[in-house]
Amino acid sequence: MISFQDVSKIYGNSWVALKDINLNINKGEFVFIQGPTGAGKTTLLKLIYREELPTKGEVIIANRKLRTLSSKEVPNLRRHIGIVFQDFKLLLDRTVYENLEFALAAINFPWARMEEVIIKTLTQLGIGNKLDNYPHQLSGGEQQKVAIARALAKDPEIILADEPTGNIDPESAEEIIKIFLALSLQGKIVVMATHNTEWPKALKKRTVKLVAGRITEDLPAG
Amino acid sequence: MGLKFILKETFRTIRTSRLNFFLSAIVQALCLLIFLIFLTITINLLSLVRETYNRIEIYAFLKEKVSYPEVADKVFLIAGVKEVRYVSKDEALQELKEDLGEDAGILSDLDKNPLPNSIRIKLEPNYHSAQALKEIEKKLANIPGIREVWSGREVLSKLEKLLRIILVSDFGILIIIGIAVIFIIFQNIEAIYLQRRREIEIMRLVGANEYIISAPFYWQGFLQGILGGLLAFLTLAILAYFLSTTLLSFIFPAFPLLFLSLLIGAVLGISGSYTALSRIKETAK
Repeated sequence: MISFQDVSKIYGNSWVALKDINLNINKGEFVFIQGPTGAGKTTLLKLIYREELPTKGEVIIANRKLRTLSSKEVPNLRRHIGIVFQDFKLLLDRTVYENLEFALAAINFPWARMEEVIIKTLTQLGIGNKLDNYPHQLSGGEQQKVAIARALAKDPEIILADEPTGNIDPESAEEIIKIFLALSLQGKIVVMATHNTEWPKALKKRTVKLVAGRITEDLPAG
Repeated sequence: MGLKFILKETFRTIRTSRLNFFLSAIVQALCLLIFLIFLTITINLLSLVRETYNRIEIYAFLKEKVSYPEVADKVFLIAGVKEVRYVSKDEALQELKEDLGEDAGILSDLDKNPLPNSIRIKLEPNYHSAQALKEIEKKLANIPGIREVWSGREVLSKLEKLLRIILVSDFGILIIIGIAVIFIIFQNIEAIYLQRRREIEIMRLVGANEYIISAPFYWQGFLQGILGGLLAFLTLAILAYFLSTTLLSFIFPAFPLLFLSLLIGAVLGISGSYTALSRIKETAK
């Protein structure tokens, strides 16, 4: 469903963020993109949600070359992708409920179903009792769960997580990883960028290792 | 599409930046007020000119021993002549006495009536301009039997010139004020855009289209423009009320002025938003 064909991304004239990337990710797969800071993990994710275009090669999602998408078609692509960041990107002046409502209303999600979906999603993630809390009243782990809930509420087929455990304690991090594993079992593609080397080893999931913009290893699951 | 969300976000932004919103609207109102004052002066001047047009009457003084029928036919042939009235020298003297009122006594020293017989000519509405008057005056002066022609054209000509200057000033003021108001709204919207960049980033990431992202800014510019227009009109109405009760009476077409004020406010508000968003997009490229 996600395919990188000879993809390179060069910023400016000389900074090579990704070089000759060939990668296929199928439905229901959980993939770690593992590498040190500056290896190109975030750029790879940006190419998937078309924040960036490749300098060379093609990124294809659901048989559609992203290069051919017009800027008007990009929002539609992103409605099928849930994105989670290390810094949560929550709106600090809005409650948990309002954060989710904002994200859903912005994509014209029906108002009649909104409350039900928000409560259901938050409850599934174990923060159903935090509806009226503001982000600053939550722990790091809880804030990340809100960010995940925001990504999941629209029921996307692809989840992209950029260092989602980077800002939270190890216990919460484990919980977050379990949530992502459960999502892949539900048939969603989960692509998680991390510099952590322990998670990929421990969970035995497919791991694509990036070093200086090149894939050095693509270890299958198991 | 997404109107509930757009309005909700618009009013939320206005609420969180209400001081900026209202201060900008007040500055905008002051700018529009200057324009509205000039416009009201123009409307009154136009009315004065129209009234002057309606009073236009050309005086053609006849030579001695020339009778009215001798010239009447020729006068009626001139394009634009609507009505011709003969005034004998005796009637003219009587009119003069009435005009002089208490000072009419000075006329009693005259041995004989010095006033000539004359005709008074009223014109069709299309022939009321100073230029048209000049041409008709020339034609009348060429008719044998007419000694002299007078129409007060010089006064009308000056009034028309003044009106032209005021109209050009109105246009100039509208342009200057328009630019100023667009700039005020532009600055406000740009500041709010920066303040809301986290929201905008999230909207883009979740898949909101550009219309949903931009619409609250257009609504805000529109509402700010409407508020500025309304404040400007209300201030003008209060000024007009005090002026009319204490100093002088003048024309104040309330509803057209209100409509125009709101319309200009709204157009400038939306233009300000458009300019700000265009610049932000340009900078982002």
